[in-house]
Amino acid sequence: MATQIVMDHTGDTRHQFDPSDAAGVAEAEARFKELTGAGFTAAVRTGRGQSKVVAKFDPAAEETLFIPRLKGG
Amino acid sequence: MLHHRSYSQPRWARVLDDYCLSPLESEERGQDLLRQWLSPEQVEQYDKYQHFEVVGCDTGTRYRILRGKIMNIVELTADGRVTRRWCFAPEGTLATGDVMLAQKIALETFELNALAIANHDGRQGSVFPSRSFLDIDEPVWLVLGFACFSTLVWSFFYIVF
Repeated sequence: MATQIVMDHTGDTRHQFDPSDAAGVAEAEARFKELTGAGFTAAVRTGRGQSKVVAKFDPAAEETLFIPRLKGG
Repeated sequence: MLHHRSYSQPRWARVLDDYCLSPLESEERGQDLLRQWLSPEQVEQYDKYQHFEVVGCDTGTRYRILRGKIMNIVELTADGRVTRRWCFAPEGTLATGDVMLAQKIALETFELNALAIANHDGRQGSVFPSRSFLDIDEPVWLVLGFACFSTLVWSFFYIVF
């Protein structure tokens, strides 16, 4: 199972999908496009403590984190 | 497609659940998420000192991310002195752990872009202490506050009686 984690006021909301399920992948891809289109940054965990920012949906990514748009504090 | 809080609840109940989550629960979830994405060394630092260090991907600069949401990023010199404080965070009301994780990922993967939108205090000289008066621990402030309060009370009784 792959997980999309969206940061929000509850801490985070998680959406899981089966990479072998076409319908689930399509829904996950739509969510990816919707969130990144709204200004979220998508990051994929690549190792322990390591991550990379991705611009394209990767159904093989185990965990994708969505970070709201950054602003100066 | 599964949702981690879907279970057998109807949608309205999930929405209600989300909005009824106490700030404490949100903070706990944020801390859990942060720890899942930190390296073992960063977790160790965080457990010991309530901060952890990251290295900027573009400049190699070391930053210390303190537990907090505002002006909680400290830029360090090679010898560990504080040179500047940075402040940027995700939009919206997020848990402290979420904010710190966003800051870590930003500095480690798109440092200069993140700093371009960040606010900061002025660059400090090389003699700037790594621990300013603003870093005084909360208990010390409590003791100072109690001392001031006691002095005021004592002065009041001294003047009145």
